Amino acid sequence: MKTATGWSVNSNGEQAIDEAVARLQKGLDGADPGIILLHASPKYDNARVLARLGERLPGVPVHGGTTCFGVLTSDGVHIEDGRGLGLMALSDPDGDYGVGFCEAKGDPGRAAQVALKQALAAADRPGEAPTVILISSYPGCEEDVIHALEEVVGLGVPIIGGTSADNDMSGQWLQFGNQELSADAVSIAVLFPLCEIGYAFHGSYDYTEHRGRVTRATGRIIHEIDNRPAAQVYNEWTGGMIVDSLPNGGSLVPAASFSPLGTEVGRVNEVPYFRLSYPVEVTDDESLLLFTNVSEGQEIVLMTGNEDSLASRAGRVASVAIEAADFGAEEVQGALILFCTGCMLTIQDRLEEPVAELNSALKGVPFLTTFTLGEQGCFIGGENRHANLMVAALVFGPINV
Amino acid sequence: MGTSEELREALLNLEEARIKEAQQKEMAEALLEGLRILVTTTDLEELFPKLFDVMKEPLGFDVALVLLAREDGSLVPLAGSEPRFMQACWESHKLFKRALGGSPASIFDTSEVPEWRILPEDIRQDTRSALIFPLTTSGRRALFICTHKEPAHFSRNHTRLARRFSVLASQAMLQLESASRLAEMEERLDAKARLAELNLKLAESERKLAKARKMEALGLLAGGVAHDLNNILSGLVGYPQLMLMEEDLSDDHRDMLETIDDAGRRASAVVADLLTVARGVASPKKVLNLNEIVRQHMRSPEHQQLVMDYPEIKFTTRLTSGLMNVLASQVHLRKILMNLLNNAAEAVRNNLEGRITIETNSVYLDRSIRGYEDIKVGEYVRLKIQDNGGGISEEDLERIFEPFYTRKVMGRSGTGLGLTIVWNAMQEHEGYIDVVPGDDGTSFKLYFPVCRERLSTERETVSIEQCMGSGQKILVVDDQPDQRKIACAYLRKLGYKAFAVSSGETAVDYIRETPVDLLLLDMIMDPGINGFETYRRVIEIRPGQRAVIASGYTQSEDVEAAQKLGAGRYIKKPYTLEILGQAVKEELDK
Repeated sequence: MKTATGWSVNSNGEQAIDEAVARLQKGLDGADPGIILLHASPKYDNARVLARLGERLPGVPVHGGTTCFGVLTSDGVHIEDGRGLGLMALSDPDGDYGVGFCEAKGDPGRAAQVALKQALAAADRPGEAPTVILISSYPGCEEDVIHALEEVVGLGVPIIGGTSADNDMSGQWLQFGNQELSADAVSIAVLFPLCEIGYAFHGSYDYTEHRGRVTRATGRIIHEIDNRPAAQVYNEWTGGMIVDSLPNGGSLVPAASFSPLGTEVGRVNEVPYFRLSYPVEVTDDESLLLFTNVSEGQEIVLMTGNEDSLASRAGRVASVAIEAADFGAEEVQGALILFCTGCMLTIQDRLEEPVAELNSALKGVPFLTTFTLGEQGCFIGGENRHANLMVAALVFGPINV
Repeated sequence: MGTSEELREALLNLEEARIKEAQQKEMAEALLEGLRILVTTTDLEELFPKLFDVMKEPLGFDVALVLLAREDGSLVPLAGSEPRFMQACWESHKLFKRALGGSPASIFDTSEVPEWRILPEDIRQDTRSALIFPLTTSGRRALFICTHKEPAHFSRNHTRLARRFSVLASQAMLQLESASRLAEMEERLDAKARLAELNLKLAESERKLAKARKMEALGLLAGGVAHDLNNILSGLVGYPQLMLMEEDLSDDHRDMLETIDDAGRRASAVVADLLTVARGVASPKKVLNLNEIVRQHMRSPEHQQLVMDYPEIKFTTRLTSGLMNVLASQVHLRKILMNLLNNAAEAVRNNLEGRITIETNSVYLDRSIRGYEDIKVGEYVRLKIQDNGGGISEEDLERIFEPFYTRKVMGRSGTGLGLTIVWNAMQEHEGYIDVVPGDDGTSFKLYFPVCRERLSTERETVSIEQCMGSGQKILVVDDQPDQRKIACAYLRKLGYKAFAVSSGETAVDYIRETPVDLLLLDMIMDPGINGFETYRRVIEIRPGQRAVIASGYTQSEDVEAAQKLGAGRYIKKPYTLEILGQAVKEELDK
């Protein structure tokens, strides 16, 4: 397995691809890429970006989506004027890779299954469980996508991905699949590398003593916690942090970045681990709008975090992924990191720190970090989940003999 | 590491390490037990069964197998945890080749994997997911396979464990090899393999036979339903026409009758679909050119409606000039085209660049095509309909021609009979269908035997005035009272003297006493003799008796047999005044 990354902040999308491909090819050192992961700022004309990439690397499957601002690689932070793009290539002559893409048209689950089938067919591995599935989708469909994929392949395949993001939450996000792109599609990549992989999915937050039960909810909105207006309860838990938003509602971004809500996913013996949900808005009826689905009866916990922890987070999650794998840090060949946009915005002046942490954890091998509006990953107990404010890491190890 | 969150994370990692350690311990114990078996088992044929027992719980399989690769590429079971799996012979395609080359695999749905397709049905059903690992010895290649009846059963952990256990299985293989027992077992396996191959062929033949029987049974059922429906519909189609001929109808009543008439005709079309599914239905064949049929269909209201329903789809025809003729039923060919195009449109409906191509050419077939082991070598006209939709899975491919097997959303389109009609029609025409699924769509290739005769000229449509009789006597023979009434009413309108009887036996008695100019003869009459037998007895009394056969459903052999004896045209119920008039006139003018 050989990995390489390329990046550019050139304002012209086609020139940016040329620059990124040149860096990528240098890293590949003559090896043919089996798949390309592309993450680009929505400020680019991404149809032209994809077309140019297709011209430069014809026939290579492409998977990815838009990222908030730009990307991180082992070379540093690649964001300039809210713009940047990154490529990652996996090269493995005996591995198989395939990408499928399907517009959701209101049924993301169906789209995910169609795209999965296409991807498996493209990899020439119909019916076979891939080593890992990568997904790129749009806000609001993530749980449906994961559920639909698990319906087909079962619970044993890690599903890792990110909700494509834009720079200002104005709906400019896009998903990429080969030469196609759309704002409401599901792009699926199936990887059958010969190498071992490791993965981890963590939030940079600790739990507090504040917890309650959701007594009324609709989709992604919590109306009541313990039979009281959700925003009032949240305000009390956070010591009056959102008191100004209570009367008429309003955005909680980025105020709630350090105070998300957590749902216990499982326990390893007695130690709980959580899925995080970002409360993004107080509605005018004092409900809370989240970025994940929520259901009545669910117990939620106030989580707490801080900037330092966020800055060091990506490196630590990468280390956890390596520890979970059957190989050591010295054997890592490369990594893909999905990093929450909300967390990135909170520490955007300190992004050199996660780069340094990742370089340290990954011993300087190529990595690509993209910023997403939701993260999908596989928890310690094997549960594939969608969550917010998380970091998902996928590390590629040595060839398995 | 200072924050409580980091401490918690470390704790989680520690707990995970503990879980892993416990798993490793469990696995190590099982591996040790496996090693003990390897060392202590003296009867080498007991090696694998004992190892399977040890592995069963940690690997969570239903059945475990060791398949030995043979020089011809097939694989035979060397050992299996269930005896019935020892009878199956396996073929090696991409998956097994890759596995034999050293790459393990986890299969979440074996129905999509070519290696499974040739296996007997019961084994396929009981092995929906599988883990496959290579076994390595110095001389031979083999696979260690764990299966489970549930799809997507095996997890990454199972895969990891199976990899470790495959080392034990490799050791067992080595022991057999070094004790020269492998060659001895293999000799037995060769005999078994030959038997397995025969069993496989037998199973495949049985599968095809069962499918044919299923289609035949459904065809008969459809035919029976259609026959009954036809009798009911005759009134619905016949009476409105008669009433519409009345001149003093009010506009309101005329509107209502026309609505009933229209509904009846549409219902007749549905029944006609069912009749196409029903095998053996008489459908007149004549010399046709497929290019002309395609052109007619592209101009038809049915196709125009399809174009309106799917404006984003681009339809293209590529019709080879000088295409050879076929002996075919025009109705069937139109139905084939309509159903395949509907099907293709459904397949590409989400594709903004949907394309459907209709292509014809003359080909010479001298080798088998997919799905047919034996074909008649010769010239064929090929109709190819290609779409660029999502394709058809191998699982669907097996069943698409079955009645009511549909992936379409119910209620939006289709009765579930579309492709069954195509299949049946091709059987009627002694042709072949080759469905080629691909990543970029599906193509249906239909092969019709070439006919060297020249095109027959189209029957000219005649007006009712041209069909009028001049008082000739016609005897209607039908067991259905409505049918008799309608037929007599039509015939009287047409200027004939019409009489009716309700059975073949009565008809024979009638004819004996009273000669008639023509018989309008139903084919199936219950109880009593059928139309063929009636006609056979009638011509003993009145040689050369003219007759027109009218039936909703009959075995074509009976129609053909009656026609061989001298009976005239066959018309399908429910018929219109014009059709009846034309058939009777034509027969009387002979």
